[in-house]
Amino acid sequence: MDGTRERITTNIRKGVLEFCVLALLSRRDMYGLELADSLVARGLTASEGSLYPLLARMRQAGSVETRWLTPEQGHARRYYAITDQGRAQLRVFAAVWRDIQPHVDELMTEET
Amino acid sequence: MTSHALPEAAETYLRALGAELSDAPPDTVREIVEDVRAHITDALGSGRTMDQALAGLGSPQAVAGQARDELALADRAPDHAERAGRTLRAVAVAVGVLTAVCVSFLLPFAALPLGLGQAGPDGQSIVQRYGAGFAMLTLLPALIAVAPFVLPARTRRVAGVVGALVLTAFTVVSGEIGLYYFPLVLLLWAAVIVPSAMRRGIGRVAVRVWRLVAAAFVALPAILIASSVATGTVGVDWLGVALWGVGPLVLGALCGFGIRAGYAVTALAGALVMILAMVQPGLLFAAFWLFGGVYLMIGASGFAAMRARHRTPLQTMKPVQ
Repeated sequence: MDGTRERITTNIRKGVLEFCVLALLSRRDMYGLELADSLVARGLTASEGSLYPLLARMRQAGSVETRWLTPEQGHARRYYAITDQGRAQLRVFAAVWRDIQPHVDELMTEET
Repeated sequence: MTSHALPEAAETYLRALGAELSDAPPDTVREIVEDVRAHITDALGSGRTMDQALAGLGSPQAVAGQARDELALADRAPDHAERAGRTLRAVAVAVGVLTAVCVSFLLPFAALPLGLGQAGPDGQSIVQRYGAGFAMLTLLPALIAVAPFVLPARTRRVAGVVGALVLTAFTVVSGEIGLYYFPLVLLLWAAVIVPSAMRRGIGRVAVRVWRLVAAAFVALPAILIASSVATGTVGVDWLGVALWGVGPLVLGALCGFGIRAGYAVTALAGALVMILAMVQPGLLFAAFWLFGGVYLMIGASGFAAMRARHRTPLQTMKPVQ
Protein backbone atom coordinates (compact mmCIF):
# COMPACT_ATOMS: atom_id res chain seq x y z
CA MET A 1 0.00 0.00 0.00
CA ASP A 2 2.91 2.32 0.79
CA GLY A 3 4.15 2.01 -2.77
CA THR A 4 0.75 3.02 -4.08
CA ARG A 5 0.59 6.01 -1.79
CA GLU A 6 4.04 7.09 -2.86
CA ARG A 7 3.19 6.77 -6.53
CA ILE A 8 -0.03 8.77 -6.18
CA THR A 9 1.73 11.45 -4.15
CA THR A 10 4.51 11.74 -6.70
CA ASN A 11 2.08 12.05 -9.58
CA ILE A 12 -0.08 14.72 -7.98
CA ARG A 13 2.92 16.74 -6.81
CA LYS A 14 4.34 16.59 -10.30
CA GLY A 15 1.24 18.25 -11.68
CA VAL A 16 1.05 21.08 -9.17
CA LEU A 17 4.61 21.81 -8.03
CA GLU A 18 5.41 24.21 -10.83
CA PHE A 19 2.35 26.35 -10.05
CA CYS A 20 2.97 26.28 -6.32
CA VAL A 21 6.42 27.67 -7.07
CA LEU A 22 4.82 30.40 -9.17
CA ALA A 23 2.30 31.14 -6.44
CA LEU A 24 5.02 31.48 -3.80
CA LEU A 25 7.05 33.74 -6.07
CA SER A 26 4.01 35.86 -6.89
CA ARG A 27 3.99 36.96 -3.23
CA ARG A 28 7.65 37.95 -3.22
CA ASP A 29 11.03 37.07 -4.70
CA MET A 30 12.69 34.17 -2.92
CA TYR A 31 16.09 32.54 -2.90
CA GLY A 32 16.52 28.83 -3.53
CA LEU A 33 16.78 27.54 0.02
CA GLU A 34 13.81 29.66 1.11
CA LEU A 35 11.71 28.34 -1.75
CA ALA A 36 12.81 24.76 -1.06
CA ASP A 37 12.02 25.08 2.65
CA SER A 38 8.56 26.50 1.93
CA LEU A 39 7.73 23.64 -0.41
CA VAL A 40 9.07 20.92 1.86
CA ALA A 41 7.22 22.39 4.86
CA ARG A 42 3.97 22.16 2.88
CA GLY A 43 4.73 18.61 1.79
CA LEU A 44 4.71 19.66 -1.85
CA THR A 45 8.08 18.13 -2.65
CA ALA A 46 10.01 15.32 -1.04
CA SER A 47 13.46 16.35 -2.14
CA GLU A 48 14.85 19.86 -2.28
CA GLY A 49 17.13 18.80 -5.10
CA SER A 50 14.27 18.29 -7.53
CA LEU A 51 13.41 21.98 -7.29
CA TYR A 52 16.40 23.15 -9.29
CA PRO A 53 15.86 21.15 -12.46
CA LEU A 54 12.26 22.42 -12.36
CA LEU A 55 13.45 26.01 -11.97
CA ALA A 56 15.86 25.51 -14.86
CA ARG A 57 12.99 24.51 -17.11
CA MET A 58 10.76 27.34 -15.87
CA ARG A 59 13.58 29.77 -16.52
CA GLN A 60 13.92 28.47 -20.07
CA ALA A 61 10.19 28.68 -20.55
CA GLY A 62 10.30 32.28 -19.33
CA SER A 63 7.99 31.95 -16.33
CA VAL A 64 10.70 32.78 -13.76
CA GLU A 65 13.95 34.68 -13.85
CA THR A 66 16.95 34.79 -11.55
CA ARG A 67 18.82 37.78 -10.30
CA TRP A 68 21.51 38.45 -7.74
CA LEU A 69 20.26 40.59 -4.91
CA THR A 70 21.90 41.78 -1.72
CA PRO A 71 19.30 42.02 1.04
CA GLU A 72 19.63 44.67 3.76
CA GLN A 73 21.21 42.10 6.03
CA GLY A 74 23.28 39.26 4.69
CA HIS A 75 25.23 38.41 1.60
CA ALA A 76 24.37 38.47 -2.10
CA ARG A 77 21.94 35.75 -3.04
CA ARG A 78 20.51 34.33 -6.17
CA TYR A 79 16.81 35.23 -6.11
CA TYR A 80 14.03 33.84 -8.22
CA ALA A 81 11.26 36.14 -9.44
CA ILE A 82 8.04 35.47 -11.33
CA THR A 83 7.70 37.05 -14.78
CA ASP A 84 4.55 38.42 -16.42
CA GLN A 85 4.34 35.22 -18.40
CA GLY A 86 4.58 33.29 -15.13
CA ARG A 87 1.72 35.33 -13.65
CA ALA A 88 -0.42 34.59 -16.68
CA GLN A 89 0.24 30.87 -16.31
CA LEU A 90 -0.57 31.04 -12.62
CA ARG A 91 -3.94 32.66 -13.36
CA VAL A 92 -4.80 29.91 -15.85
CA PHE A 93 -3.81 27.22 -13.37
CA ALA A 94 -5.83 28.84 -10.59
CA ALA A 95 -8.93 28.86 -12.81
CA VAL A 96 -8.48 25.22 -13.76
CA TRP A 97 -7.83 24.22 -10.18
CA ARG A 98 -10.98 25.99 -8.94
CA ASP A 99 -12.98 24.11 -11.55
CA ILE A 100 -11.61 20.71 -10.70
CA GLN A 101 -11.11 20.90 -6.96
CA PRO A 102 -14.75 20.96 -5.72
CA HIS A 103 -15.64 18.02 -7.92
CA VAL A 104 -12.75 15.95 -6.67
CA ASP A 105 -13.57 16.95 -3.07
CA GLU A 106 -17.20 16.02 -3.49
CA LEU A 107 -16.33 12.60 -4.86
CA MET A 108 -13.78 12.00 -2.14
CA THR A 109 -16.09 12.82 0.79
CA GLU A 110 -17.62 9.36 0.44
CA GLU A 111 -14.22 7.76 0.93
CA THR A 112 -13.39 9.19 4.34
CA MET B 1 28.45 35.56 -9.96
CA THR B 2 29.98 34.56 -6.68
CA SER B 3 31.00 30.97 -6.86
CA HIS B 4 33.43 30.64 -4.01
CA ALA B 5 34.67 27.18 -3.28
CA LEU B 6 32.72 25.07 -0.81
CA PRO B 7 34.07 22.22 1.34
CA GLU B 8 35.28 19.27 -0.69
CA ALA B 9 32.18 17.14 -0.03
CA ALA B 10 30.01 19.80 -1.65
CA GLU B 11 32.38 20.31 -4.58
CA THR B 12 32.41 16.56 -5.16
CA TYR B 13 28.62 16.56 -5.13
CA LEU B 14 28.48 19.42 -7.64
CA ARG B 15 31.08 17.78 -9.89
CA ALA B 16 29.17 14.52 -9.83
CA LEU B 17 25.96 16.37 -10.71
CA GLY B 18 27.70 18.09 -13.63
CA ALA B 19 29.18 14.79 -14.80
CA GLU B 20 25.78 13.07 -14.70
CA LEU B 21 24.51 15.77 -17.05
CA SER B 22 27.57 15.85 -19.28
CA ASP B 23 25.44 15.37 -22.38
CA ALA B 24 23.04 18.23 -21.59
CA PRO B 25 23.51 21.77 -22.95
CA PRO B 26 26.44 23.22 -20.97
CA ASP B 27 24.68 26.51 -20.14
CA THR B 28 21.70 24.75 -18.62
CA VAL B 29 23.92 22.45 -16.59
CA ARG B 30 25.97 25.40 -15.35
CA GLU B 31 22.82 27.15 -14.17
CA ILE B 32 21.52 24.11 -12.33
CA VAL B 33 24.91 23.55 -10.70
CA GLU B 34 25.07 27.24 -9.71
CA ASP B 35 21.56 27.04 -8.22
CA VAL B 36 22.48 23.98 -6.19
CA ARG B 37 25.75 25.59 -5.13
CA ALA B 38 23.85 28.63 -3.82
CA HIS B 39 21.42 26.29 -2.04
CA ILE B 40 24.26 24.46 -0.26
CA THR B 41 25.96 27.75 0.67
CA ASP B 42 22.73 29.06 2.21
CA ALA B 43 21.94 25.77 3.92
CA LEU B 44 25.38 25.72 5.57
CA GLY B 45 24.97 29.41 6.43
CA SER B 46 21.66 28.71 8.14
CA GLY B 47 23.30 26.20 10.46
CA ARG B 48 22.71 22.89 8.72
CA THR B 49 25.54 20.40 8.57
CA MET B 50 26.99 19.34 5.24
CA ASP B 51 25.37 15.90 5.63
CA GLN B 52 21.95 17.44 6.24
CA ALA B 53 22.33 19.82 3.33
CA LEU B 54 23.34 17.09 0.87
CA ALA B 55 20.80 14.60 2.20
CA GLY B 56 18.05 17.19 1.73
CA LEU B 57 19.00 17.60 -1.90
CA GLY B 58 18.96 13.89 -2.68
CA SER B 59 21.70 12.11 -4.61
CA PRO B 60 23.33 13.81 -7.63
CA GLN B 61 21.93 10.95 -9.70
CA ALA B 62 18.41 11.68 -8.49
CA VAL B 63 18.71 15.42 -9.19
CA ALA B 64 20.21 14.68 -12.61
CA GLY B 65 17.38 12.22 -13.31
CA GLN B 66 14.88 14.92 -12.43
CA ALA B 67 16.66 17.34 -14.76
CA ARG B 68 16.52 14.79 -17.58
CA ASP B 69 12.82 14.50 -16.96
CA GLU B 70 12.22 18.24 -16.85
CA LEU B 71 14.39 19.06 -19.83
CA ALA B 72 13.17 16.04 -21.78
CA LEU B 73 16.70 14.80 -22.34
CA ALA B 74 17.18 11.28 -23.51
CA ASP B 75 18.06 8.89 -20.73
CA ARG B 76 21.73 8.84 -20.01
CA ALA B 77 23.49 8.76 -23.36
CA PRO B 78 26.09 6.01 -23.59
CA ASP B 79 28.18 6.55 -20.51
CA HIS B 80 31.09 8.80 -21.36
CA ALA B 81 33.44 7.25 -18.83
CA GLU B 82 32.50 3.78 -19.98
CA ARG B 83 33.29 4.74 -23.56
CA ALA B 84 36.66 6.23 -22.61
CA GLY B 85 37.53 3.00 -20.80
CA ARG B 86 36.57 0.94 -23.84
CA THR B 87 38.66 3.11 -26.18
CA LEU B 88 41.72 2.81 -23.96
CA ARG B 89 41.22 -0.93 -23.58
CA ALA B 90 40.95 -1.36 -27.34
CA VAL B 91 44.25 0.50 -27.77
CA ALA B 92 45.75 -1.70 -25.05
CA VAL B 93 44.65 -4.87 -26.86
CA ALA B 94 46.17 -3.60 -30.13
CA VAL B 95 49.44 -2.88 -28.31
CA GLY B 96 49.25 -6.33 -26.71
CA VAL B 97 49.05 -7.96 -30.14
CA LEU B 98 51.85 -5.77 -31.49
CA THR B 99 53.97 -6.72 -28.50
CA ALA B 100 53.29 -10.41 -29.03
CA VAL B 101 54.45 -10.14 -32.64
CA CYS B 102 57.47 -8.19 -31.51
CA VAL B 103 58.42 -10.69 -28.83
CA SER B 104 57.76 -13.76 -30.97
CA PHE B 105 59.66 -12.65 -34.03
CA LEU B 106 62.28 -10.21 -32.85
CA LEU B 107 63.35 -11.13 -29.38
CA PRO B 108 66.26 -13.59 -29.40
CA PHE B 109 65.16 -16.57 -27.34
CA ALA B 110 68.27 -16.15 -25.21
CA ALA B 111 66.42 -13.29 -23.56
CA LEU B 112 63.86 -15.69 -22.15
CA PRO B 113 64.23 -16.19 -18.44
CA LEU B 114 63.91 -19.96 -18.84
CA GLY B 115 67.50 -21.08 -18.79
CA LEU B 116 66.92 -22.84 -22.15
CA GLY B 117 68.89 -20.19 -24.01
CA GLN B 118 72.05 -22.27 -24.33
CA ALA B 119 70.26 -25.03 -26.18
CA GLY B 120 70.49 -23.56 -29.66
CA PRO B 121 72.44 -21.24 -31.88
CA ASP B 122 72.22 -17.57 -31.05
CA GLY B 123 70.05 -15.16 -32.92
CA GLN B 124 67.05 -17.40 -33.43
CA SER B 125 63.70 -15.87 -32.67
CA ILE B 126 61.21 -17.60 -30.41
CA VAL B 127 59.14 -18.71 -33.38
CA GLN B 128 62.19 -20.25 -35.07
CA ARG B 129 63.28 -21.96 -31.93
CA TYR B 130 60.12 -23.18 -30.26
CA GLY B 131 57.55 -22.98 -33.03
CA ALA B 132 54.27 -21.18 -33.40
CA GLY B 133 52.60 -22.97 -30.51
CA PHE B 134 54.94 -21.50 -27.96
CA ALA B 135 54.74 -18.14 -29.64
CA MET B 136 51.00 -18.16 -28.93
CA LEU B 137 51.91 -17.81 -25.28
CA THR B 138 53.18 -14.32 -26.00
CA LEU B 139 49.59 -13.42 -26.83
CA LEU B 140 48.46 -14.27 -23.32
CA PRO B 141 48.85 -10.67 -22.04
CA ALA B 142 46.73 -9.44 -24.95
CA LEU B 143 44.09 -11.97 -23.95
CA ILE B 144 44.20 -10.73 -20.36
CA ALA B 145 43.73 -7.22 -21.74
CA VAL B 146 40.71 -8.28 -23.77
CA ALA B 147 39.04 -10.23 -20.94
CA PRO B 148 36.97 -7.35 -19.47
CA PHE B 149 35.33 -6.89 -22.89
CA VAL B 150 33.79 -10.34 -22.80
CA LEU B 151 33.02 -10.62 -19.09
CA PRO B 152 29.65 -9.60 -17.62
CA ALA B 153 29.37 -5.91 -16.72
CA ARG B 154 29.44 -6.53 -12.96
CA THR B 155 32.87 -8.14 -12.97
CA ARG B 156 34.41 -5.86 -15.61
CA ARG B 157 36.04 -3.31 -13.35
CA VAL B 158 37.50 -5.94 -11.05
CA ALA B 159 38.79 -7.91 -14.05
CA GLY B 160 40.41 -4.73 -15.36
CA VAL B 161 42.25 -4.09 -12.10
CA VAL B 162 43.28 -7.74 -11.66
CA GLY B 163 44.57 -7.92 -15.25
CA ALA B 164 46.60 -4.74 -14.79
CA LEU B 165 48.04 -6.04 -11.49
CA VAL B 166 48.97 -9.44 -12.93
CA LEU B 167 50.72 -7.94 -15.93
CA THR B 168 52.49 -5.35 -13.79
CA ALA B 169 53.88 -8.15 -11.64
CA PHE B 170 54.88 -10.06 -14.77
CA THR B 171 56.65 -7.01 -16.21
CA VAL B 172 58.58 -6.46 -13.03
CA VAL B 173 59.79 -10.04 -12.54
CA SER B 174 60.56 -11.13 -16.07
CA GLY B 175 63.46 -8.93 -17.02
CA GLU B 176 63.97 -7.93 -20.63
CA ILE B 177 60.83 -9.59 -21.92
CA GLY B 178 58.89 -7.62 -19.32
CA LEU B 179 60.22 -4.42 -20.80
CA TYR B 180 58.40 -5.21 -24.03
CA TYR B 181 55.10 -5.42 -22.20
CA PHE B 182 55.58 -2.15 -20.35
CA PRO B 183 53.52 -0.02 -22.80
CA LEU B 184 50.68 -2.55 -22.55
CA VAL B 185 50.77 -2.33 -18.76
CA LEU B 186 50.65 1.48 -18.92
CA LEU B 187 47.60 1.38 -21.16
CA LEU B 188 45.86 -1.19 -18.97
CA TRP B 189 46.23 1.10 -15.97
CA ALA B 190 44.98 4.01 -18.05
CA ALA B 191 41.93 1.92 -19.03
CA VAL B 192 41.24 1.34 -15.31
CA ILE B 193 42.08 4.76 -13.88
CA VAL B 194 40.76 7.18 -16.53
CA PRO B 195 37.11 6.01 -16.45
CA SER B 196 37.02 5.75 -12.67
CA ALA B 197 38.44 9.28 -12.34
CA MET B 198 35.85 10.51 -14.83
CA ARG B 199 33.07 8.89 -12.82
CA ARG B 200 34.24 10.50 -9.62
CA GLY B 201 34.53 13.82 -11.39
CA ILE B 202 37.90 15.40 -12.07
CA GLY B 203 38.60 18.71 -10.36
CA ARG B 204 39.76 21.72 -12.34
CA VAL B 205 43.13 21.76 -10.60
CA ALA B 206 43.67 18.06 -11.28
CA VAL B 207 42.92 18.59 -14.97
CA ARG B 208 45.41 21.45 -15.13
CA VAL B 209 48.11 19.44 -13.38
CA TRP B 210 47.49 16.48 -15.65
CA ARG B 211 47.76 18.62 -18.77
CA LEU B 212 51.00 20.22 -17.61
CA VAL B 213 52.58 16.86 -16.80
CA ALA B 214 51.46 15.51 -20.18
CA ALA B 215 52.80 18.61 -21.94
CA ALA B 216 56.15 18.37 -20.16
CA PHE B 217 56.58 14.73 -21.05
CA VAL B 218 55.47 15.14 -24.64
CA ALA B 219 57.87 18.05 -25.13
CA LEU B 220 60.76 16.15 -23.51
CA PRO B 221 62.40 14.95 -26.77
CA ALA B 222 62.59 18.56 -27.93
CA ILE B 223 64.47 19.50 -24.80
CA LEU B 224 66.84 16.55 -25.21
CA ILE B 225 67.44 17.50 -28.86
CA ALA B 226 67.97 21.14 -27.97
CA SER B 227 70.53 20.30 -25.33
CA SER B 228 72.40 17.86 -27.61
CA VAL B 229 72.50 20.42 -30.39
CA ALA B 230 73.63 23.12 -27.97
CA THR B 231 76.43 21.00 -26.56
CA GLY B 232 77.41 19.83 -30.01
CA THR B 233 76.98 16.12 -29.20
CA VAL B 234 75.02 15.62 -32.40
CA GLY B 235 75.39 17.32 -35.74
CA VAL B 236 72.63 19.63 -36.83
CA ASP B 237 70.37 17.79 -39.22
CA TRP B 238 67.56 20.19 -39.84
CA LEU B 239 65.04 17.55 -40.85
CA GLY B 240 65.79 15.68 -37.64
CA VAL B 241 65.50 18.84 -35.59
CA ALA B 242 62.14 19.61 -37.17
CA LEU B 243 60.84 16.10 -36.61
CA TRP B 244 62.11 15.36 -33.12
CA GLY B 245 62.40 18.92 -31.83
CA VAL B 246 59.65 21.12 -33.19
CA GLY B 247 57.12 18.26 -33.40
CA PRO B 248 57.19 17.42 -29.68
CA LEU B 249 57.20 21.12 -28.75
CA VAL B 250 54.06 21.77 -30.78
CA LEU B 251 52.38 18.61 -29.49
CA GLY B 252 53.39 19.48 -25.93
CA ALA B 253 51.84 22.93 -26.28
CA LEU B 254 48.62 21.50 -27.76
CA CYS B 255 48.37 18.99 -24.90
CA GLY B 256 49.11 21.70 -22.36
CA PHE B 257 46.21 23.77 -23.63
CA GLY B 258 43.96 20.74 -23.60
CA ILE B 259 43.39 20.51 -27.36
CA ARG B 260 41.89 17.14 -28.09
CA ALA B 261 43.47 16.85 -31.54
CA GLY B 262 46.88 17.37 -29.91
CA TYR B 263 46.31 14.26 -27.83
CA ALA B 264 45.15 12.30 -30.87
CA VAL B 265 48.30 13.20 -32.81
CA THR B 266 50.45 12.41 -29.75
CA ALA B 267 48.88 8.94 -29.56
CA LEU B 268 49.47 8.38 -33.28
CA ALA B 269 53.06 9.60 -33.03
CA GLY B 270 53.61 7.20 -30.12
CA ALA B 271 52.20 4.27 -32.09
CA LEU B 272 54.33 5.22 -35.08
CA VAL B 273 57.50 5.39 -32.98
CA MET B 274 56.73 1.95 -31.53
CA ILE B 275 56.23 0.48 -34.99
CA LEU B 276 59.40 2.17 -36.24
CA ALA B 277 61.31 0.74 -33.31
CA MET B 278 59.99 -2.69 -34.24
CA VAL B 279 60.76 -2.45 -37.93
CA GLN B 280 64.26 -1.14 -37.41
CA PRO B 281 65.38 -2.53 -34.09
CA GLY B 282 68.63 -0.89 -33.18
CA LEU B 283 70.62 0.02 -30.15
CA LEU B 284 67.99 2.39 -28.91
CA PHE B 285 65.14 -0.07 -29.43
CA ALA B 286 64.12 -0.12 -25.77
CA ALA B 287 64.23 3.67 -25.49
CA PHE B 288 62.06 4.22 -28.56
CA TRP B 289 59.67 1.41 -27.65
CA LEU B 290 59.13 2.67 -24.13
CA PHE B 291 58.96 6.32 -25.09
CA GLY B 292 56.50 5.57 -27.88
CA GLY B 293 54.46 3.59 -25.35
CA VAL B 294 54.28 6.49 -22.92
CA TYR B 295 53.37 8.88 -25.75
CA LEU B 296 50.61 6.52 -26.81
CA MET B 297 49.32 6.23 -23.24
CA ILE B 298 49.29 10.00 -22.67
CA GLY B 299 47.74 10.74 -26.05
CA ALA B 300 45.08 8.04 -25.84
CA SER B 301 44.14 8.93 -22.23
CA GLY B 302 43.80 12.63 -23.00
CA PHE B 303 41.86 11.94 -26.16
CA ALA B 304 39.48 9.49 -24.50
CA ALA B 305 38.93 11.59 -21.38
CA MET B 306 38.07 14.76 -23.26
CA ARG B 307 34.57 15.14 -24.50
CA ALA B 308 34.10 15.54 -28.21
CA ARG B 309 32.88 19.08 -28.71
CA HIS B 310 29.46 18.50 -30.11
CA ARG B 311 26.42 20.29 -28.90
CA THR B 312 23.46 18.24 -27.94
CA PRO B 313 20.79 18.70 -30.55
CA LEU B 314 18.35 21.39 -29.59
CA GLN B 315 16.65 20.15 -26.48
CA THR B 316 12.95 19.96 -26.50
CA MET B 317 11.15 21.75 -23.74
CA LYS B 318 7.80 20.77 -22.47
CA PRO B 319 5.70 23.66 -23.66
CA VAL B 320 3.55 25.28 -21.03
CA GLN B 321 0.64 27.24 -22.34
